[in-house]
Amino acid sequence: MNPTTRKIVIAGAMSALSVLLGSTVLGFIPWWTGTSLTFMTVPVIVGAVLEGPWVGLAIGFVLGASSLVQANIAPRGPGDVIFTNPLISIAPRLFIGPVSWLVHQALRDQDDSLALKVAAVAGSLVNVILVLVMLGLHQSTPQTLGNPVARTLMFAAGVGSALLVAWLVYRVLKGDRAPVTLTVVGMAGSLTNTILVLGVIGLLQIAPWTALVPIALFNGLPEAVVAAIITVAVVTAWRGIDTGRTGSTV
Amino acid sequence: MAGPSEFELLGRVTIGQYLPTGSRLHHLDPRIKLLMVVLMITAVIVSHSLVGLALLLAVVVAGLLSARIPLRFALAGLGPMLPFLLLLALLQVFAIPQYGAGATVIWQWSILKATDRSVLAGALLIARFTVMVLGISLFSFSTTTTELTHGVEHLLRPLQALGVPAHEFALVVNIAIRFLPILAEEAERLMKAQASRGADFGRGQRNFIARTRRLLPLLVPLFLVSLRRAEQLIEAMEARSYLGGKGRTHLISLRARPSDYVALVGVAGLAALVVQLSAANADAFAWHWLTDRLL
Repeated sequence: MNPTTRKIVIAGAMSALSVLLGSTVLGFIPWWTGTSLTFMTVPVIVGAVLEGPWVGLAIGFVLGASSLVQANIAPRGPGDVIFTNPLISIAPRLFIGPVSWLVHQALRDQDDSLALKVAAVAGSLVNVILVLVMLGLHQSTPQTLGNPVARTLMFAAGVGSALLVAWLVYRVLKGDRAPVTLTVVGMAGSLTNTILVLGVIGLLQIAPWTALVPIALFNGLPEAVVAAIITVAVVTAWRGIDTGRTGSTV
Repeated sequence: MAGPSEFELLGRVTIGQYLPTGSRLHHLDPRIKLLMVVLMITAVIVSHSLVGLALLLAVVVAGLLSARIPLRFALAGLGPMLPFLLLLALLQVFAIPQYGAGATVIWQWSILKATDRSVLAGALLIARFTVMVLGISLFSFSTTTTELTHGVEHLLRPLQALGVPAHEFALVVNIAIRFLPILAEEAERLMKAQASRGADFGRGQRNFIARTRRLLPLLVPLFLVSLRRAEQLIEAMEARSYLGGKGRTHLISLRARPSDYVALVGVAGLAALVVQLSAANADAFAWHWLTDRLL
């Protein structure tokens, strides 16, 4: 592979932007769970959409390396403890770009009824994943999850959040094709980050799965929505795609 | 928001912090230093031995002292994390079941129970994080970003035969480092421009979707400015016939000296020893040695 000058430079610029968003207040939205929503993943997604998977991979690596160094030298918050481990700060970030690119490739040429399909699939996937996770939790920590009340509550939470995701995805999706695709791409990229980072934390047994599932729900999902909004706004503006929106909101 | 001003961004970027004390460690070949960091991180992640981690910690602290980096600089990274670190350690002790043969319960209160293994897991967690924080601080305080990108490029060079674009990747990192202050400046300018038109970026706004929308007048121009700057750079590079890494020479050529190799072999030996210690169950041995003499 011989990357073009364009790919190299776009990767560099987007890497700088993701480092800037990740290490200043710019890239975070304070959130009631205490952990801010971050959209520092958006430059990775944008880079992958514009210039392909390798560019996404490179930007993801720079983002990961900078969050590793930052967590070690000048942590912003207590949560940075976890990111001192490169398996958590770098490895998951490598997948954001390639996954976003794959999703973008898959959706780019589809027809308009896509919105509904994607919404349905996203919703049911969330449900399936959550139910499986609950089952896993049930196996591993019988004391806390053995009682029927907790199980019912968790199942209700699973179904509820699946419906919520389906509704959100559908609301954002019905519209033109390009924004539709970009919305899904933005969410996919951001969710890749959430799922892999939390997954590695769980696998390394740094924090119990019971603590990670709520984070995935209450931070990961809104984070994905934020990433989708920004990805759509940036890529449509850059490519001059009409979103049907006019005028500034300031 | 603490700090100088909400419009000041660059001061918060920590990448590229460097303390020029001119010590021997600063003058080590960056390739060697990178290899040393990779070896050290691997040893820290793989090791399950407190003795091994203590050994690594001692070496890293010795490194900080010999690099004349004030310990409080390196420790600054540890302070804000401490409460959370302790919480994580407590989770290790009480919430994550450490199964397996030979785990004895040493403390129990209703459903809370601590086994010798879970206490060890908590202690290991704290030790790992401490070594990692101090080690990476040592590396980044003693290596400039230019040295770093040169080191990365040279280390990846053998992989070029396999098709890994080493030179190009190093260039990506270089461009990112060069773009960072420019983009920070652009972001500051955009924030001031929008604020002067009465924009508020959604502070106090509860709904996160509305809040994100409020940020768009800042973020969209910021992305577009960086893409536009990138386009200019592409044109400038192509106008100067940039053709990629093949056959390029360097202004600075790296040459490892004997002392570099000595340092590398030393760290490699240390890493191997630490991994060995964890395999040889050195902790149990040290524990018995201590209890035999103290109790």
